[in-house]
Amino acid sequence: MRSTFLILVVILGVVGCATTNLHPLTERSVELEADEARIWTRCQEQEQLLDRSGLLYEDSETREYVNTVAAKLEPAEVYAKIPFRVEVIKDPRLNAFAFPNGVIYVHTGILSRMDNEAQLATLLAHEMTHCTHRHAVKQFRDLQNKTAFLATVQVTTAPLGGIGDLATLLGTFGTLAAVTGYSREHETEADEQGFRRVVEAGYDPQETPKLFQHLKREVEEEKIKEPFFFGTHPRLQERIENYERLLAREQLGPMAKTKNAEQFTQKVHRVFLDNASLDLKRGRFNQAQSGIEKYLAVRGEEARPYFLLGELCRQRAGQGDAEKAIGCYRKSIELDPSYAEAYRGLGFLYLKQKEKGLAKARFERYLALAPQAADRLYIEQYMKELQ
Amino acid sequence: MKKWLVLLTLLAVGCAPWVRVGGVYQDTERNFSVDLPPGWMKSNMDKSLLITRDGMLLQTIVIERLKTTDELLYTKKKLEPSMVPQEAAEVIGDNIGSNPSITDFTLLENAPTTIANRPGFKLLYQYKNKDGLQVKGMYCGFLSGDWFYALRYTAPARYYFDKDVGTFEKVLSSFTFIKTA
Repeated sequence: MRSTFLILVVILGVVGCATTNLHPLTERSVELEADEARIWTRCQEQEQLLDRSGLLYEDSETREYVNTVAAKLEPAEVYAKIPFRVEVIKDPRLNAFAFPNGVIYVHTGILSRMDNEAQLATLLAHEMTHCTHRHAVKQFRDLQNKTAFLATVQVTTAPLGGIGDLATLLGTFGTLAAVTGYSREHETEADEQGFRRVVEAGYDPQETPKLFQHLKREVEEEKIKEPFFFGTHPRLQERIENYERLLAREQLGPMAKTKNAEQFTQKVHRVFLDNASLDLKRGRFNQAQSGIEKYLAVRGEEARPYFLLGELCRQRAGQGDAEKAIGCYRKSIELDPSYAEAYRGLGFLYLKQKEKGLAKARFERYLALAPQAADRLYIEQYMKELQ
Repeated sequence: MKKWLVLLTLLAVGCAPWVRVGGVYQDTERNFSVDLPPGWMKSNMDKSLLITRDGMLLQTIVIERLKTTDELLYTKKKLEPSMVPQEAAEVIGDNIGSNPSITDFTLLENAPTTIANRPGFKLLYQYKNKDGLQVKGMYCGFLSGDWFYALRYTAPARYYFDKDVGTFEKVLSSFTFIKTA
């Protein structure tokens, strides 16, 4: 038994432990370490896959805007070391994550839940801190140390009975970073450092917990079960508690309290509507309605949001929804008489209400405007039945 | 000794994940009958009827029956017994298109069809799977009381889809109920 212990100590000494005590990359003299550089290279390959996947939200104004906000949070010297880049992903789920080399992905779902630029800055500053404070390499080394230690114990103690295969741990590292988040300690550091960046950039610190409060309320009310970090109740609660604690602790003197609510909605309003369309497909009617209404508040007189609201009411089919849907389709047509799908929606509702003449006229108009419609055969069938 | 051999063989066949099929196939539990193509293999691991000839990556035909109250995988929308085929097609199309592991979902065709003398729908679509492969699918479905029947064919868009779409259409046209209400 004593010899086994000695062997264990010797092997641990030989294997050694990689340090997880790394200084932030924001410090002037600090450079990338070899394993860190390899992680960055690996991340670049993953980013290329993501960029080619067709998942990116292709809107240059939105992209430029989120990158401008990010640039306010870190000085040029830090950008020289970590070339931060923010991309938006077409996905209605509540998520955002950063690769260690500074590439940050924000889902349209989380972006469309925000009210202003200060909230966007809070999220970006949190993610940027994961990069500047090297949380990925720290976690990687921590896992490596544990794996090396446990593998050593496993070899040494094999005669005493195995303690399980840890090989899969390293394989799931990427998922850990993006889905479950980093350790509680690292996430708290990201909140604290992020908070500081937000305040220094002149944003209203009172806004820092608000996005997470919105998300938590939504997760609870809608009983959302998503696998992502920002879609889980305990992680959101941690963020709220941390930001509220930081707010209470900080001696906030007179300072600029920028929210930039109007600029934010002007720049990302298309995300609200496109994400609402994704939420509608998923049958998340409340979220879809909220997104459409946010869009309408910025760009009132357009056909598409009214059409989508009509679709939402028709598909939700609740009390009074048919009448609301008819009103929305009509408004859509009023704003754009060539909006073909609004005629189809009207025709469909009139068909259900057995208003044969009205239904036939709307279907005829739909096919005249969209002769190549994917559902043309249904419409022709309805028209035949209506005759 | 022979008895043991027979028993072992029976056990081995019974536990095989894939079994060869062909000809009339009757599912009395789900109340349908279809003619399956010869030379295809049926999975014993799947709750629904799943067949393939060259492997699941190259082509699959799935026949399943869902309760209209069942939750769909990717949309919170529900099928309703009172839905007309176009409404049911809309729910199913949104369910497929909301699958987070696919991208570039495009609906190529959404048309009415008849399956076992019932009005149904046919969706033709394509998407990229998580490996970036362009996949094409045909999904036919219809409502029958509280049940929803679905027959779908999926294969890589290039070469494979066209190769067996005719086989799927034959399976589809052979679909009948064992007992009619």
